[in-house]
Amino acid sequence: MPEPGRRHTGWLVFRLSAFELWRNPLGLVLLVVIPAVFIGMILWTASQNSIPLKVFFGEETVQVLLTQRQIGLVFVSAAVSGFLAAYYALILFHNDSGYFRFCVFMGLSPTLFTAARFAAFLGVTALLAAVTTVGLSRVTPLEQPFTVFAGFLLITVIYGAYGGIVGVLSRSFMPALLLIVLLADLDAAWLQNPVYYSAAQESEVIHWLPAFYPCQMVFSAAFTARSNGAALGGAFVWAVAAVALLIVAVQWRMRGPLSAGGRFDQ
Amino acid sequence: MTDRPDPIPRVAAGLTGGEPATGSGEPDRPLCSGIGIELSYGKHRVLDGCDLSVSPRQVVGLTGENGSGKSTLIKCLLGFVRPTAGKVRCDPRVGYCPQENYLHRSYAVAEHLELIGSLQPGGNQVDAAWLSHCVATLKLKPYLPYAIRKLSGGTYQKVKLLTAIVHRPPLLVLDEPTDGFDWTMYLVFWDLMAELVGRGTGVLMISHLLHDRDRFDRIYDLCDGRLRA
Repeated sequence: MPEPGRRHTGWLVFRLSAFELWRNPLGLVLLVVIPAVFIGMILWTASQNSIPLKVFFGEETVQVLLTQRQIGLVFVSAAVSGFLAAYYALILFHNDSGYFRFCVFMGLSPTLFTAARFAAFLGVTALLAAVTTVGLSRVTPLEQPFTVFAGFLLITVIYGAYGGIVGVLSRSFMPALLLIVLLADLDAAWLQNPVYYSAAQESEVIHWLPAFYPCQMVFSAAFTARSNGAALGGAFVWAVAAVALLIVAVQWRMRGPLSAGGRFDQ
Repeated sequence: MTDRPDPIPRVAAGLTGGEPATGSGEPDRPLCSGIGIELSYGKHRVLDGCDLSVSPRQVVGLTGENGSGKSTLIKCLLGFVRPTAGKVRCDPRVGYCPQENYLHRSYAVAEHLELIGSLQPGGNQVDAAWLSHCVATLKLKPYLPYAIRKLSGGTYQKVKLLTAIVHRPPLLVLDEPTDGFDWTMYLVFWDLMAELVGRGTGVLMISHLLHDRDRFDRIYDLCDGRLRA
């Protein structure tokens, strides 16, 4: 028998959020299949030929000679962890949102809901970033593994917040899923990646995409001994802005009137 | 407006430590009232000057054809939908059973009840004895560990009903709450309503069932956006 009032609501929402992800069979399958397929494709197709990669350090750009496989692995790891974080955020902030609106009506604080949900989301992103870093270190030696982890963490936070925002604003799951696949694929896996799009390095446009700063942070930490304050700062600004937008979107969704027809299950 | 003489037997609740749900000592003051509620979607006027009120110990029925706007009227009263015009006032300690299936599919019934039980709508706390009584009365105990997505339609409806009444609110708003109930559970439902009404709860309920009509103190019929007694 449930014991009312014995547990703190924030802890309950946090715990149930973790259960939601654990009980999502597709999410667990994707957690294995997506990295296996993408990283497998890189190992299978990318050559060991070296190409110069321009790494952004703010005022200066440093050329690093890396194999196509090394470059491809970092970008694909970024794309995979970004997509997975966005997918899990989509589950947390889109699925059953009517239920949580009802809970808000019953007295759940939208701020507490957002904080508990976000804490669960951060746990997932930290786990994804750690797994990605460890996986990458098995394939290629990393100069600064903790900074690499921080770079992947910022990628997962930025993309996770993006997935959450799309989830909050979208009525349907499939268009939301397509939107996160589209951005993760276009940005991290393709446009940022000189192996597949060599002209991108010369374009200013990629600087404005969410994966740019954290990817530069990961590259500089993985393959140089230098610190990269400019990339860290840029990635941090992106992360804070994305999370702030997510919080605003969730608060609006939880407090505002229901959509036309006033249904809880839409 | 049709006033009917005491249609629900005012049964003794049979629970210990029960306070009247309102506790206000003002039996005639409405728990919920709407005056001149209007709502339009573009040129389509859904609600056109609807007046209604629910007082403590009153069971009010809301009827009307499919799509006439009954659920929308309730959502206007509860503040989920903003009316185009009119005034609405409702006690914040309200229990609501919406028509749609909103429960979280991946939670177990016990998890759902634990979360709902930790909330305090309008400062209303859950009484553990009342929760146990409701779980037993609705025969939900065997289903507590079950994931909500695995429940049958009737059991799902019971969980929705329990969610609405778990805080023993002074005001209950129920949108077709007996959908999917067998006859026994239908009678159990009215027994539970009698307990709550006996403690002072006011009930506003949408129903299409002819045999419900005798149980209402007052019936509003919504037709072409207007409420008729």
